[in-house]
Amino acid sequence: MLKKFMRGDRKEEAALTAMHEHLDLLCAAGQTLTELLSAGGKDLVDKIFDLEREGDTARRRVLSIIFEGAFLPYLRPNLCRFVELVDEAFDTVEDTARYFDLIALHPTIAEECRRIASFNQQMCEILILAFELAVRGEDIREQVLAIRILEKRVDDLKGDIYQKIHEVPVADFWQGKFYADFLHSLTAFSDLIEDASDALYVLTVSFR
Amino acid sequence: MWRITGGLFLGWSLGANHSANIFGTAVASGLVRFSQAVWLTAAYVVLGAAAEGTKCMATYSKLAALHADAAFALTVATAVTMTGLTRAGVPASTSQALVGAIIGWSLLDTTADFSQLFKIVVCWVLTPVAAVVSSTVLHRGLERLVVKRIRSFSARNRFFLVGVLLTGCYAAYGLGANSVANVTGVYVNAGLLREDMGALLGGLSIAAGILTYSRRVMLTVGKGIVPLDPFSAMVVVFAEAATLHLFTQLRVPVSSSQAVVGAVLGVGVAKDLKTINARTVLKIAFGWVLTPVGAGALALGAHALMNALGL
Repeated sequence: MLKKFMRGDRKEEAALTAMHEHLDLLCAAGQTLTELLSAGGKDLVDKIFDLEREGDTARRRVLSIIFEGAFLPYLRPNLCRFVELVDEAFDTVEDTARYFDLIALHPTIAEECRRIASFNQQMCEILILAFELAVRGEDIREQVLAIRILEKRVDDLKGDIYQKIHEVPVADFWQGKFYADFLHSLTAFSDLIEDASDALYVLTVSFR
Repeated sequence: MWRITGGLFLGWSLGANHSANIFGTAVASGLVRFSQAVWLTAAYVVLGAAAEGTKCMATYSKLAALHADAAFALTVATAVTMTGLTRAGVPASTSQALVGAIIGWSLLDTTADFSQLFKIVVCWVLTPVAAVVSSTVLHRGLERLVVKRIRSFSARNRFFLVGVLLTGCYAAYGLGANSVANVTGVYVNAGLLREDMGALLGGLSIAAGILTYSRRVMLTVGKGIVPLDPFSAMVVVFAEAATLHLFTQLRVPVSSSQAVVGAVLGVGVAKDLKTINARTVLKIAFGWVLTPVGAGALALGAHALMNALGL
C-alpha cells in the first residue's frame, strides 16, 4: 500500500496516455480510410491494417493497466466499455477497407460514401477532443451533441445510398455481399463512435 | 478472572460484525485488499481503545453497581440478544443491548441510576441524527470546497483512494474508542479490571474478531452499499467516524451501525430527499426499542433465576 501511495497516480496517467494513443490511431485510420475512398490504393489498405494492429496493442495495454489496479473499481467497467467501443469502431474501419479492396466503388454512391468517411473522421476528432476535456474534468456535452448531429447526417446519407443502391450493377452474389458488407461497416462506425461518446459522458457524470 | 471471557467473546463478535461498517465498501469493490483492510482496522481499533476507550467506561459505572457474576451474565445476555437480532435482520446495537441488560439486571436490586439512563437514551436518539447532520454537511461542504476544485480525472481518483483509506482509519479509531466500553466496561465497573487494562484488552478482543472472522460480513455489507458513488461512500465513513468520536467525547457508547445508517440517510438528504426510505427509518426506530428491551428482559430473567437458585 505504501508503494501505491508513493507511486501516486502513475498507473492512471499511463492508462489515460494509452487510451489517448488508441484514439489517435483510430483517428489516423479514419483519415486513411477517407483517403482510400478518394484515391484508392493497396498501400492505404495495408496502412489501415497496420494501424488496426497497433490499436489492438494499445487496447490490450489500457486493459492490462486497468486490470493491474488503475482507477477506482467503480470506474473500471465504464472505462473498459469506452475502450472496447473504440476498438469495435477500429474493427469496422478495417472491415470497410477490406471490403473496399474487394469491390469497385460505383460512381452512383461514391460521393455519399466519401462524405460518410469524412464525417466519420470528424467524429473521431471530436471524440479525441471530448476525451481530452473529460480527463481535465471539463464538460463534454457540446462534443457529445456534435457527434450525435454528425451521426444523424451519416444516417441520412445511408438512407440516400439505399435509395440509389438498386442502380448499382452487381455481377454475382459475392460482389453483392461485399458491397452490402462494405456499406454496413462504413455506416456502423458512426453508431459506435456515438456509443463511445455516450460512454465517456456517463464516465464523467459518474465521477462528478 | 475467567468471567472476562464473556466480555472478550462479546468483543470478538463486535469486531467481526462492526468492522464491515468501515472498509466494507472499499473491500467489496476491490479498492482495498481484505488483508490490508483488516490489519488497518485492527490497528486503529486498538489505538482508539487504548487512547480514548476509558472515556466511555465511566458511563456504565454510573448506570448501576455490578459484581463480577453480574458482569459475566450481562455480557452473555448481550451476546445472545445481538445474535438473535442479527439473525432477524434488525440493525442491533451492542451498546443498546448492554445498557438494556444492565437496567434489566439492576431492576431487581434497584441499583439503576435512571438519570444516567436518560442521558444515554438521548444520545442513542441523537446518534443517527448527528450522523445525518454531519453527513449532509460533509457531503455539501466537501463537494463545494474540495471535489469541485479537483477537476482532473487522475487527481480526483487519487483523492478518493486516499480519502477512503484515511476516513476508514479514522472510523476504526472511533469504533475502538467508543465501543470498547461495551466489551470490558462492566468488568471495570465490577472491579475485575483497571480502566486502562480494560480498554486495552477490549480493543485487542475487537481486533481479534476483525482479524479472524470479519470477511463474510464485510463482503455482504460492502456489496450492499456498493451502489453509493465513491465520494458518498467516503463521506458516509467520515460521518460515521465523526459521530462516534463526538459521542466518545460525551462519554457515551453509541451504535456504529446506526451511525452508518444515519450517514447514508444524510447523503440522501444532501442529494435528494426522495431517496430516503421511510421503511429504513422505521427499522432503526424499531431497533432502538427492541434491542434494549430484549436484552433487559433476558438479563432480568437471568437475575431472577440466579436469585431463585441462590447463586
